[in-house]
Amino acid sequence: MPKTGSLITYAVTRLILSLPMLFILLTVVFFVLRVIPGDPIAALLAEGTPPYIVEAVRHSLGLDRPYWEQYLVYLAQIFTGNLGISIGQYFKGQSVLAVILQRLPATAELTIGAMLVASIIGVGTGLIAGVNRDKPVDLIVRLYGTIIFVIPIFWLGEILQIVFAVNLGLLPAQGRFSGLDPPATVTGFYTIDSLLAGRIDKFFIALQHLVLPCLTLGLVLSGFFTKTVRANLLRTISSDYVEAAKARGIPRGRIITRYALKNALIPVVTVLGLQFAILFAGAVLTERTFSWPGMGSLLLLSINTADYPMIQGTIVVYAFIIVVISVIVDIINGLIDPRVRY
Amino acid sequence: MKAKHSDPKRASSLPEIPLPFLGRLIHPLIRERRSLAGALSWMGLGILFFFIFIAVFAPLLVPFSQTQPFASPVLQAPSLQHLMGTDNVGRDVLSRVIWGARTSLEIMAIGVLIALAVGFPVGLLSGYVGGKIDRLLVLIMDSIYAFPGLLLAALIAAVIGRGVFNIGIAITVIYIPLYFRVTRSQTLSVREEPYVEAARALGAKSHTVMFSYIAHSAIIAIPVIFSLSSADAILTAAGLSYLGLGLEVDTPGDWGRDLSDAQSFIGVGIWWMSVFPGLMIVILTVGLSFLGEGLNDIINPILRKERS
Amino acid sequence: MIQTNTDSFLLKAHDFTVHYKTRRGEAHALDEISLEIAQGETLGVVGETGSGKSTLAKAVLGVLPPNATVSGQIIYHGSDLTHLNDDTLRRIRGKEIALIFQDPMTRLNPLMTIEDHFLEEIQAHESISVEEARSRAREALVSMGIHESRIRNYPHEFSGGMRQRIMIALALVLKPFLLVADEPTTSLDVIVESQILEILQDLRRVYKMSLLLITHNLGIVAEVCDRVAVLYAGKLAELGPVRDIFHRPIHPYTRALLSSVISLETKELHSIEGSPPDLLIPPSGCRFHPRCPYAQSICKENVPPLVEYRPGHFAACHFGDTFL
Repeated sequence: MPKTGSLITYAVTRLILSLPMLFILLTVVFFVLRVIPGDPIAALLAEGTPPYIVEAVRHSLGLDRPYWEQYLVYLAQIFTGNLGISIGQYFKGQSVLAVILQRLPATAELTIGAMLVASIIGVGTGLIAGVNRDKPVDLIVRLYGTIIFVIPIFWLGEILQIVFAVNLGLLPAQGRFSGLDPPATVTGFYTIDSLLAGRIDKFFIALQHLVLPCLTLGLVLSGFFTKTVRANLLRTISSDYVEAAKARGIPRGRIITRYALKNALIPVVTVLGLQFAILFAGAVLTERTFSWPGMGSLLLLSINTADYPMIQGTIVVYAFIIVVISVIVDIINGLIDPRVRY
Repeated sequence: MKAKHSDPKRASSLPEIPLPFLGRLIHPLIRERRSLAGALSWMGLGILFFFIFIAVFAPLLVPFSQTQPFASPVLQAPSLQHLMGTDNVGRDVLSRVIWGARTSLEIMAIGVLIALAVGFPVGLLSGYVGGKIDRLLVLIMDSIYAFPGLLLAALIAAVIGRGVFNIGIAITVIYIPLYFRVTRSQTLSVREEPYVEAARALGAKSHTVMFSYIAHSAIIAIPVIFSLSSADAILTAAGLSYLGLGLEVDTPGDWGRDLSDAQSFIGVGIWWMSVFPGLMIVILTVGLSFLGEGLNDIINPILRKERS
Repeated sequence: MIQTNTDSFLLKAHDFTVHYKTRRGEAHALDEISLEIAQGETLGVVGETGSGKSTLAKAVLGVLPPNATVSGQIIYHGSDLTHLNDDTLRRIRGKEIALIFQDPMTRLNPLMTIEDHFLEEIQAHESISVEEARSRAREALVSMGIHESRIRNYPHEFSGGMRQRIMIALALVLKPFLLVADEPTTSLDVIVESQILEILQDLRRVYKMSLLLITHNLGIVAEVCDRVAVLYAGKLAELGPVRDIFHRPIHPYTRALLSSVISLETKELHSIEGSPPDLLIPPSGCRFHPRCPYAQSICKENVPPLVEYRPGHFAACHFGDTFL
């Protein structure tokens, strides 16, 4: 069976199908930044900025031209990889894309770590609850899933800081690295770069800094996993193929993992794309709580310094990331579920 | 709500439609009050009404009506005079927390009601009309839905500026796709039901069919997402304030900003500045999601029964 | 070949009862059923929907849903299946007693290849090399008329009839002593149905296997079975050799069953006047009395005992003698 061939075809189809989504997101960003009532430049600049300065900034960014012209220029620039030049006080004159790419690994390291925490805790608790339906442990886990999901992420972060950083002094409360110089940049992931450089000590420093932010973000997201895994597991556990497997004398542990859990994870993977949306939103808050130098902090910095090109560039990059993730999620889905690869 | 007007004359000549909206919701709520789902729903409703009470009577409830800084000594631990202590600029934390309930509920109401007012009719129309318009709307709504809501709201808030109403507008964009999706899928399943077809066959005009019959049936799914999106709206609004994109500095109560201010004092043991506003958010959002999940467990069987 | 020798039984149910706890009360799915299957025998179990036939199939394998409560015994090789511990029972399932289901479309794990299903089952019961397990899997598949090149395919790539043959191959790969077939052809079309029946008939010749065939299709029973048990609302109504049941039925329910088939000349079983009883509140006395044209007051009051009217031919009717 040409398994790989059909998978590649499938992946390419998914990629093409995701282009409208990218286009719509870029249009929405354009619409918000330039069309809706309100003057972003005036709103961003400090109150009392003389009108001629506001006008000058608008003119230099091309915001005084007709919308259709702005729109075409906007799309053309994005697809040629030109996100403009920063006008904020911190990155003035630097390429927006370069600054963002420099910040991207911090956010990626945080979100990947958080996703790991969320899926391990979420799948684990969902599995325990689903297998022990309506027993006390099930109720406790359901309560956990509901409550953890609506806890303000920054509040949870503050509490973890109080407990683990302030009171116990076990882990650093702020930042990505401390003490030594960060490892030389290869991938931008401090954990990977320090291993590449052969510096285990730096690896542990990076890891220590990752623990609290990833735990904060991952715990909040795990509630979503807990609930969806449990709900789907209840469905697959009572399915016909599980009953048939039982009748063939397949051991219970194997039925739970290979039959019930694996089939229950398919719908979980399909909503994984939406989980990433929650994850990135949560990452902006987590980055602020832990002074994490990622894209979320960059966006806030640009809003506070009226760095219009940087704001637009950051959001556009977020849009690209979301689209790419939705394609990756679809491909993972195709890898797990043979029925999708058609 | 739209679905509630039912013309008595028409009702007698056309096939029976399900009970009025509120009845369909409240009867099962009362009947199921002893089940887990019912208990959760009532608990959630209780918490919600408690916060609404606080919000409405905030001016009468606050022990210190002042909002200007340095009216009391700064950073006082909780005491009989200041039950939740004072913050770094000498404001009574309890008073701020009570005012915060009002601002939070205001933002929530604006954000969620506008989302309902836009998402519900558009979802209805899209599901009913179908075809290319439907596919385009679905694509647009799904794309927005897939984008991190807080980021979109932050962007809009940065452009249109601070204030309760503006933040309400900024977060409404997150929830419009949610109401759209749910309403549309309800519409699709209701559209083929016998009583809708019967109404059509008896010559009801297509817009009459749509708005009285389908809307009536589709709206039953709304309370669930209304509760869940309200919980999320509280969190998002607090998040925007925490990021410094929310309300004006002189707003008498703003949980998100209070938590942001509190962060600098965590290291020195000033726990009361962060614990109390945080607890308020948690209690309110947990209450709303209890309500949402309880209603979900109660309403789903009703939907299945109505369908069969 | 009719075996009535009660000493050589393979499996014997004695006063076997299954109740389901539901939200509305206890459903009496099976009530004091006693029957046995001899070595190499095919026993048919017929009845309407809700008569408890599928419950019987699942009970034999010990795969009843968690809300079921069981009393009575099912004796197999000298031990009571209802009292075996989970692991012992698991070792019997699939290895010694196998089950095939009504709806093959949903019985295979959609995420596993056919070969994985076989390997998993073989390795759950026997410690043999993967290579040997593979060759046995291929052999079993080919014996069901499916080409061995398809063994790496996924379930969704097969039709319903092929999936049922795969299910049978899976059930037979370990050469069980007893095969329980729960309406194995109901969801299949007529041509596939006859293929499956041929396969089932061959089984006995090739493997000397006992077969418990659960069906509502009397045509199949006449073709395949040695003896028949007729279930009505969880009670055994009549039990006997297939020839006796078809030509000289005793219980009014059996007679109604047979006449409804003959008069309509179809293979489907058509329901008798009145509706099957609610198992939550089963009728008093003889459960068939509300629908029985011959019912007297005694039928309402007393449960009729199972009486042997001819050698090996039992019926539970107060007026059995008059129908002889």
